[in-house]
Amino acid sequence: MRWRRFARALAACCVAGAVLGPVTVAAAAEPPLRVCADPDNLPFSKAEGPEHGLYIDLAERVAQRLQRPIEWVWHDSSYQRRALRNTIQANQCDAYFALPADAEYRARGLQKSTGFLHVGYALVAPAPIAFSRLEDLKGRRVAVQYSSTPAVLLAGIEGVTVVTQRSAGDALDSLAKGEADVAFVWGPSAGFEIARRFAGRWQVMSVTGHGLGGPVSVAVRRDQPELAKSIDQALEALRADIDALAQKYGFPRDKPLALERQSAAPTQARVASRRGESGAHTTSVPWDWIATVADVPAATSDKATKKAAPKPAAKATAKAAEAAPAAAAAAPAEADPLAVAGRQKFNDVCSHCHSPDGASPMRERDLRRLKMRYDDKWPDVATKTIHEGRPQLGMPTWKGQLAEQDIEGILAFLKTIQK
Amino acid sequence: MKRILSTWVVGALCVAASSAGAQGWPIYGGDSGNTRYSTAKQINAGNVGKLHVQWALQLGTTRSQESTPILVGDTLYVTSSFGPKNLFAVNAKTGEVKWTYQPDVPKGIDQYACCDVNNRGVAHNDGRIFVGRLDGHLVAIDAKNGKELWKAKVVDYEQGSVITSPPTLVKNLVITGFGGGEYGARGSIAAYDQATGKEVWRTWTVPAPGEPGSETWKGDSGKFGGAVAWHIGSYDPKLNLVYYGTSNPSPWSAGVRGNDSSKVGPYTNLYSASVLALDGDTGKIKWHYQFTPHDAWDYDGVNELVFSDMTFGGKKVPVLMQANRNGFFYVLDRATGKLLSANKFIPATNWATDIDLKTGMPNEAPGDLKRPGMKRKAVDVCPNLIGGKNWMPMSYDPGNGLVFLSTMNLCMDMEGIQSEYKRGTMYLGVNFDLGKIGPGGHAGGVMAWDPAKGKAAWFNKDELPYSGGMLSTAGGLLFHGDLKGWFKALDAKTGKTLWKFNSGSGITAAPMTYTLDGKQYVAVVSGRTFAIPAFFGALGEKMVAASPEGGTLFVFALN
Repeated sequence: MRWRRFARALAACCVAGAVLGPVTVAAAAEPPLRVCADPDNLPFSKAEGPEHGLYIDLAERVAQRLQRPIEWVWHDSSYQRRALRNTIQANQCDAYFALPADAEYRARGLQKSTGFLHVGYALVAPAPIAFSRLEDLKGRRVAVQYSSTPAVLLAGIEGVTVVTQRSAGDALDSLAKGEADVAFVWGPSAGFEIARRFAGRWQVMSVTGHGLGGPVSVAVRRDQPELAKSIDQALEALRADIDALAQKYGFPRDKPLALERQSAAPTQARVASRRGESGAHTTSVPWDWIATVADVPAATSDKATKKAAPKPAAKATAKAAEAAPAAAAAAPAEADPLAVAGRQKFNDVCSHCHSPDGASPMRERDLRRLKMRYDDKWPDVATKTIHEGRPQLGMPTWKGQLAEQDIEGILAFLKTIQK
Repeated sequence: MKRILSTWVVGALCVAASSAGAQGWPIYGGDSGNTRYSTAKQINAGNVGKLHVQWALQLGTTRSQESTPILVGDTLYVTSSFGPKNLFAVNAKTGEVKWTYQPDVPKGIDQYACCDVNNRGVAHNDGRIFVGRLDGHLVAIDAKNGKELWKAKVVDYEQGSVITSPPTLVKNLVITGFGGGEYGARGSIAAYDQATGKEVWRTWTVPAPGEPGSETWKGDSGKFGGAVAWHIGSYDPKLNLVYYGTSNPSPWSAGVRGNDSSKVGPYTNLYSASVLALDGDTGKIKWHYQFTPHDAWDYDGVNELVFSDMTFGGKKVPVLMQANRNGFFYVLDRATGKLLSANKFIPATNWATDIDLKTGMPNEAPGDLKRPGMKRKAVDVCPNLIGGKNWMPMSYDPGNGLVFLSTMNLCMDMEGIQSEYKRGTMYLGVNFDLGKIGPGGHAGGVMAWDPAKGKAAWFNKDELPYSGGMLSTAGGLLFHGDLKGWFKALDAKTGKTLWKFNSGSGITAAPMTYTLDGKQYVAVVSGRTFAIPAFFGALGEKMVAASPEGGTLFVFALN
C-alpha cells in the first residue's frame, strides 16, 4: 500500500474515530517523516488527483528507504519564503521538497541535500531549429510566460517578437494555434503538458544560464544532521528512480545548453533534440550555471494544512453513520434517487458538524451557502473539500473513507439545498 | 419644466459635491472632491479637551481597518476588513446595530490581495448602498435592511485582482476599478447601472493593440500592463468628469515594457502611474497626465485626487491636487489636465530633480543613478516604493488653504531581477531593501502643506511611518491617528496636539465627523495595518510592536 494513501485513510479514520470515542493506535517503530510539499503544483507535487508529481513519488521512496512512515504537510509555495517560515522553519515538518540547491539561495536554519534533479527553462519548437544563443531567435515569434526570465531576456534583443502568455500551457497553446514559432517556457511544465495535451509532438531543448534554472534539493533543518545524511544517501541510491520519474512526468532530460556561453563556437550549435533522447546533441555543455530565483513555479494559499496520521496504526473501522443524529429521512418529492440517497448519507455522516440537511446556524458550516460563496465553481470546491478535508478546521478527509458513489450522492443532495 | 428640473438636479449634485458643509458625511471623502473637510465647529480648539467616547463598535475582524464610515439620515454605514467581512448599519447616535451584511467571500482570498484584505467603505445613493468586495464583485444593498439587491462581477479575483475601495457615483451610475498591478492584471474602470447592476461602460487603462497609446508599450507587454485603479475616484458634476489615478505598470521589470532607462523614448507605458479624467456618461478618456513615465519604482499614481480652486496667473482655476507616492505634490487644472505645479513635499526625493512644467516630464537623476534596472542596482532611492504618501487620505481646508497629509521619509535599494509568475500569485521582479530611513532619522510624520506656495507650513516628525488619514474642520482642528493607536486632535495652524485618546490599536483609516440633533460627533476606525510591515524588515518589527491588531469604530463627542 502506498504510504500516502494509507496515511490519508488513516487520518479519516482517526477523525471519524474521535467522534465515536477513543481509538487505540498502535505505536510505530520509527517516528514519521513529516514532508512538506505544495498541494497543487504539478508536475512537482499535488495532494489529490490521479498524478501526484515527482516530488511526492520521490518522497515516498525516500521514506521507504529510511523505513519511516510518511506524514504530509501541505503548504502553498507561491511565496516560497513564507512557505518555509510557516512549515519547516517552524518545525512543522522535517523535509521540504524541494528548494534550489544553489548556494546563493539561503534559508535560515536549513541545510540542503545535493541537487538531485535539474529543472529549468526550455525551448519548444514544432520543427528543429538551430540554436546556440538568444540572438538565434531573431525574426521569430517566441511565446513566453508573463514576467519570466525568458520574457526579461528577450526584451533586450531586437528583432524577437515576444508573445506573452500567463502560463507555460497558454504559451504552448500559442504554438499550437500558429501564433508563435517557438515557446521559451518552464521546462517541466512544458514537458508535462506536451506529453499530456499535445501528444508529445514537439521538441524540447533545455537551457541554463543566470536565472534560467538549476538543480533542486531537499531541505532539512540544521539540527537534524543525521536526517540530512540519510536523505542524501537515499537520493544517491534512488538515482535511477529519479530518472524514471522525470520521464514519467515529462521533465526534459536532455543536457541543457548554457546560454551564458554566448561566444559559443558554431560547432556548439545544435539542433533541438527529441524530448527524452539525451545525448542527441553534439556538444558537452558546462554545468556551472547560477540559479538565483529560478524556483520551481509555485502555487497558492497561506496556511499549512496537515494531513495524515502521526503513526501507522491498526485499521480503525469507524462507522460514522452510527453517530449521526436522527434526521428526517423524507426526501423531497421531485429529487432524483441519487440526491435522495445522498441526503440519507449526508445526514448519517456529515450532519453532526453541518446540521441536518446542511442547515447549520454556524455560517462557515452552512452548506446551503456554497453557491453563494463559490458561484458556479462550488461543486469543484465541495468535491475537493470532501476528498481532501480541511484538517485545521476540523473537516476530515473522506476520500477512501466514503465510496465515490456516496460522495456523488452527497453532492447531488447539496445541489438541492443551495440558496 | 424639464429645464427647471434639470437645473434642480445639477444644483442638487453640486450640493452633494460639497455636502460635508451641511455637517453630514454622505461619501467616503466627505465630498466628491475628497477634501475631507467639514464646516462643523462645535468642537474647536477651546473645548476639544472635553472630547469623550460616546460609543464603540467591534468590527469583527482584527487586521488592516481602512474604512471611513458614511452618514445617511441618522444611520452610519461602516465596513470591516476582510471582504468586507461585515458591513454594519448602526444608529449614529447610539451605535445600536440595525443590520449587518456579511458577504460570502471565498476562503483563501488573502493570497490575491497584495497589500492586505482591507476595505475602505461604501457609497450611497437613493436607498442603495454600494460596496466593492475582495472577490471582485460590486454589490448593491438595500439601505433599509441590508439585503443584497444585485451583484456584478467586475473582475476575476483569481487573476489577483481585488476591490478594496468604495465606488464613485455619477448620476445613475456606480463606477469602480480594482487592484492587481502586482499580479499582471490589465486595468479597467467600469460603470454599472445603479438600479440593475448592468454594465454600462468599461474603459481600459492600458490601450489595446492598435489603439492610441498602445505604442507606448514595448512588444505585447501592454497585455498584462497593470495600471489598475484600485483607490478612490473623484467626481466633478459641473465638468461631468470622473477622475481616477492608476497604479504602477506591470511587470515591475521595466525592461520588459521599454528601454529600462531614463531615456524612456516612446515607451512611457500609458496610462500607468497617471491620472485619467473620464466622461461621466461614456467613460471616454477626456485627458490624462502621467506622473511617472515608464515607472521602475512602483510609484503608483492612485492617491486620492483632491479638489480646490486656486489662482494661477491671476485666474481662478478648478484644480485637483495629488500627493504622489513619488514625492511630488501635483496641482493640475482639472478641466484640461494642464500641469500647474509640481513640488517635492518629501525633501529627500531624489529619483528626479524636478518636473518640467512645460512637458510634464520628470527630470530624472542623471545616468540612471536612481533608476533600478536589470543588473543595475539603484541605492538610496527616495521615496521608497511605499511612497512619500500612501493611500491614507489627506484633507484640504479651504479656510486656511492648507493640505494635511501623512508622509513617509523612507528610501530603498532596488535592483531588477528575474522572478517567476504563476496566475494568481504575487509577482515582484525586483530585489529590494525598503527599511531605510531617510535623512533626518524620522520614518514619517504629519505635514501641513501649502499648495499655493509649494512648501510645508508645519511638520510633526514621527519615528514610525504609516500614520492615519486626515480630517480638518471649521473648528480649526485637524484629526488623525497613528500607528501606536493614538487618535489626536491638533491645532490646524500650528500642528500642536490639543487632545489625544489611545484607541488600543494602530490607526491608518481616516476620521469623519457629523452633526445630529445639534451634537457634533467625530468617528474613526482603529485597527493596525497587518501586511505592510512585512515589507520593511527591522522597521516593520517596530511597526508591529507599536500596537496590537484590532478592529473598532470609536465615536466621540463633547460631554
